[in-house]
Amino acid sequence: MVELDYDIVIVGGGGAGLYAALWAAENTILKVAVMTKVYPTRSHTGAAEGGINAVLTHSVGDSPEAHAYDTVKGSDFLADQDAVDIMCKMGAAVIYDIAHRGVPFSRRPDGRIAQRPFGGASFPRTCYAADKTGFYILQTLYEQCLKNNVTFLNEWFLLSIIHNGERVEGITAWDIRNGGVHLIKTKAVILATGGHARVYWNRTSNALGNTGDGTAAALRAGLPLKDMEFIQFHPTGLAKTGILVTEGARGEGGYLRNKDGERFMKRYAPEKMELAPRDIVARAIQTEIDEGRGCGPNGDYICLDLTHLGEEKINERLPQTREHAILYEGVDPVKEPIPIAPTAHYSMGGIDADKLGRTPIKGLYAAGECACISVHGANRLGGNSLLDVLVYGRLTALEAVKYADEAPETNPSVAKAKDDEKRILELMEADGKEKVADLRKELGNVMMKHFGVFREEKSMREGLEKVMEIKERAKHVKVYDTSKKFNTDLITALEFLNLVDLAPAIAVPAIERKESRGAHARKDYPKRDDKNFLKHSVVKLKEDGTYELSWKPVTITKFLPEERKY
Amino acid sequence: MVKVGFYQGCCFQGQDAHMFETMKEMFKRIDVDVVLLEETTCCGGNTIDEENRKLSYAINARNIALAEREGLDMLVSCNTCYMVIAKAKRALDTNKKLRDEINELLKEEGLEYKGTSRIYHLLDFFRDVVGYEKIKQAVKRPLKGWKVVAYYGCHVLYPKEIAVDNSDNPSSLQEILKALGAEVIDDYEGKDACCGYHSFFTDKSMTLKKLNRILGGVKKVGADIVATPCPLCFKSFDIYQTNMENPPRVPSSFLPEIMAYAFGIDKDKSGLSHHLIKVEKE
Amino acid sequence: METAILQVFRYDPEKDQAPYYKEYEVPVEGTLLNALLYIKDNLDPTLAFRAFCRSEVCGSCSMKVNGKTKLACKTPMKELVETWKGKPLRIEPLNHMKVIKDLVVDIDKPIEKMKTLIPWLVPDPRVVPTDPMHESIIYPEEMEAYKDQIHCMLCFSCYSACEAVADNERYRGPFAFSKAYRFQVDRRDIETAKEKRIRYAISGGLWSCVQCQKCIHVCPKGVRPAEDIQNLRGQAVKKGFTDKPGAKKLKHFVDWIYATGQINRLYLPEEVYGNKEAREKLTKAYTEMGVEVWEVPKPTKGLMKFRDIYLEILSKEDKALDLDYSHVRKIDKMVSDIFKADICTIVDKAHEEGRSSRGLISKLKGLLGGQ
Repeated sequence: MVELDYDIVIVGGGGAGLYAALWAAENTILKVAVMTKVYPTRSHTGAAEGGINAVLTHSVGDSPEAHAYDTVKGSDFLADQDAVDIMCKMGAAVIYDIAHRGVPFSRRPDGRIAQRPFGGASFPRTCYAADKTGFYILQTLYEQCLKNNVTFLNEWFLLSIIHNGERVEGITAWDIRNGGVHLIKTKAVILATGGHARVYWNRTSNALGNTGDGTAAALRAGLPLKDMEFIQFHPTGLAKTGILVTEGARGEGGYLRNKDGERFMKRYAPEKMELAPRDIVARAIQTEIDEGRGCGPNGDYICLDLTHLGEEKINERLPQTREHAILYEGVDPVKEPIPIAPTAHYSMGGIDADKLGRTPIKGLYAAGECACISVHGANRLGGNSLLDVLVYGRLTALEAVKYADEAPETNPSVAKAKDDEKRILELMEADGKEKVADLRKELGNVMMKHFGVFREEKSMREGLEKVMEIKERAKHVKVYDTSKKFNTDLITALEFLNLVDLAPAIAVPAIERKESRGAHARKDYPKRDDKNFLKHSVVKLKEDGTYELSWKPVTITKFLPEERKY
Repeated sequence: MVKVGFYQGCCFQGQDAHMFETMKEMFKRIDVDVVLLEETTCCGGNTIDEENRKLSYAINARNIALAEREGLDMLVSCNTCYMVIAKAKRALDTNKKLRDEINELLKEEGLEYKGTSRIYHLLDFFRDVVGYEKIKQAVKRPLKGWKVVAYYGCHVLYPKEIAVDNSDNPSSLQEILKALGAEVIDDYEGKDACCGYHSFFTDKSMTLKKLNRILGGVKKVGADIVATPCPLCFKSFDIYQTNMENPPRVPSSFLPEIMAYAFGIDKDKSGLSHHLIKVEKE
Repeated sequence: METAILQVFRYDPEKDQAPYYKEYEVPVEGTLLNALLYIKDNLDPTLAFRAFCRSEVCGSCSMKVNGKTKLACKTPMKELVETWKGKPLRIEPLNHMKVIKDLVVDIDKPIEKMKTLIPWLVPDPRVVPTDPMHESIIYPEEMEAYKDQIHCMLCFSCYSACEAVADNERYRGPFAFSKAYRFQVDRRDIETAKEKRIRYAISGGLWSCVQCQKCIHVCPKGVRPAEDIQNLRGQAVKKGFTDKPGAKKLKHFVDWIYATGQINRLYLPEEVYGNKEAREKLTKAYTEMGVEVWEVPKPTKGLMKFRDIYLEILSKEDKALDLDYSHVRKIDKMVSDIFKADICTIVDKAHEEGRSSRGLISKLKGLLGGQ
């Protein structure tokens, strides 16, 4: 069992992880390493298209306060306003910083960073780099990390977090390339492992590996997860794969039609029609499907019709949409409508962290989608995720540097590593009565059916039972590949087991939150209930395997709850 | 009789002018009248692009405009010239600003690039204009018993936007060689390698390694000759091969030569007997 | 359902003495990545390959199909079946990198190679404010210069397909040059860094590129490394790195094409490698074949106008001084010595003679039977 020794380990090499690494590398002589299960530039930050919100020095009429208000309102007042305040005030600083490092932001004719309007924002404050903002940010941050000689542990998989109840002491991880469990001693850990929308396996826009590895490890280490019931569904995911069709397709004039060819949005948002906010459109689509007006042999999708836009406009404005529809759906949008359905897109919930990204365990931080600070509350605004990623990547880095500078030497026990080793061995020796691929699909279907766009008491209770049953059956999954090197069969199984651990943490608070707020839409409680539920749900995994739910207050500083109307 | 403008590049003029005569004669046998586009210049050899890409576009806009002036499509019988000219044509056809800017300069000579002439390479010209059947009919001296390796060269297949055949699995060269009656070998080590012609004057060692790779593969499959539709690949095989430490002495042929021979033109006139590595096969 | 056979490269260096191919029957539906995921979920969970985003932004899943580099998530199965006309599809790991297992290769080496070309912005403090709350002004037009290069997602498709990587260990790889070039044309990048990148690029094989265009062909993102390499070569020469053969070759092309409309193969070896014998040898060889050797191509009609266009473009691009006028005058003198008239007269005469004037094939005509 090899032991590695660092002062700060950043788990995850996406936007938050790399920005944390950069700020740590530039501000300390401590030993910092980025551990990631894929090469950094593969991370899902790279898939973020739209942009990043920030009030810049030249944003006339706009202010960080206005940005904060929009964010809080978008969150359906569940966001913590002290954290939102910090994030919105730091917007310009992080934008200029990454622009100075080379991010090719689209520019106005006068050479300043261009900004465009985005859903839920009262000013055009979304900075963008063509339609590949996240991609360029990720590539640029990686370049800068190379420049700063950041140490990377590429293709290492997080297994466990080790702490003594007070301070973090280390982590254990599997070296994917060479095989083997490693104990990594460190004073501070920043978890930047991304979201867990892969719980909805076949109905998500997320990458194959967005399996909430850090969140699950935190849960198993006894840390609280917050607001896990909130999952954002994007209205237009390709029917077969859940891969995203950009909002631009509707922005350019695409129609949504049900099986009768009707533009049904007129019944849901007669004025805005297809351009209504994401959650409203997602709910409308889901209603059409649920009420039997879906298209196709199984009535399980809706048609996004672009045919009237003509080939030229589609090629010019929506080339990627056309390519993806042809490649992944087998449909050419010039000739036929694209089959789409809502797709799980973003996890608002995650590891409970405060306004500086600190968890209840000293030295352990969370940043980006895996964290719940919470700056997104019950619903995230488009353009706020990249901002969250950068602001909290940077803040947690500075916090971790400060902490690790002073913290005592740690002495993590090898017990955890031995346990993990045993767990992996057991997976290879399991009876194999269940297959990962089958169970994973089943879990996804159960989650989509019972904890999807719409939720309802009876269905959710049924769903939770099924989830717990799958969790039980998951004990029988087997890893067939017994080799050490690049054992993707093992990684697939570990990822699935993480999803299985997280699913009940979504289900339990979803059942108990008896109101509709942001992305949590209950048919049996269609109204927001500030009296009883203006509070964060907190879930912990107890030693007996049960999920314990508690609540904690929302920090409200300036903006009092009001009805969320657009 | 099909009439087509012939772009001479550097391989069909000066001391290599006889190659044009061979071509002309060969084409006559398949009812094609190749009209030499006299005033055209070197395409820049994909090297002028290093100096300035717009210069390359301008030179070739002029070259194409000369064909357009005659109302003819343009046949380019060199892979590199084809690639460079086809790339220029793409740029000119898709970028109006560039086209206008260059046309302004061409005006002085009374020329205009309009985009009306199609650019052919030998392979698509034989396939789409002449037809394999016609080639078959013109054969007077079938290449019976000739084991011929089909070597495409890079610039007719890559990049895909200018490719004249399926870049991954091309078939036109094999079809032509088959029509000549040859036994075609299209699977050998090094078949996808570059001939190294263009690195001879930038990194000679690279050229020699490439030749070793390809000609070694050819030797292994026991071929009589390599046939290529590119005069530069041919020069690399025939001339630069002699620069190798232990030349495998694999004979090669520019496609029109071997076609001329199969069409019954004298071996001497076909060009086949003037190679540095002698073509022994009769 | 239509199916296809995939012959997948399998190799676990721990267990297998040698690689082998395993056949799987997969549905012809969706992309090659779908087919591989189908294998993993239904037929053989032990198959190792990389994949992440599924939608061509992360660059994980590049591999070879029947020797050709492909990004699996961007390659429709139907297209493969059509291209290869029912032949089995051989799926293999990328070239030039060590196989870790099955389709997974070690990409550390190309990343390390890239790193040596300074593929990051080194800000010029005169352009990029050091005050973090100040914006650096960049005009949309100037971003045109690197709009393609920034799409590189490090999938290493070009590295695998590269002819120069195949035969030159030191060669950095097409993508690495594109990454480097991206900063060479960024106004914010400091001049000293630009100078260094050129130095390192030359040492990293800038002149070894064979210009096969495969990197452009295989790039799933429309990056054009072979052209960026040409651009870097141009920059190298401009910055005074003129001692390499490639730089001399470029000079030959620039001068001779301007002077005569053609390059001159007789003089190339001499002007590039200082090899004077080559000209004599070539002349001798041609003469033996009965081919009359002309030391310079005869100027054709239109040459003077051609020169105008040539010079006009160079001037517009601020490169008029790249022409070596004394070299051009020397060539002009050779022309007038041979044709016994000055260049303008010759061109005028060509004009009068009409377009049929070729001039040189006296002996050859005999050889070809007087055609």
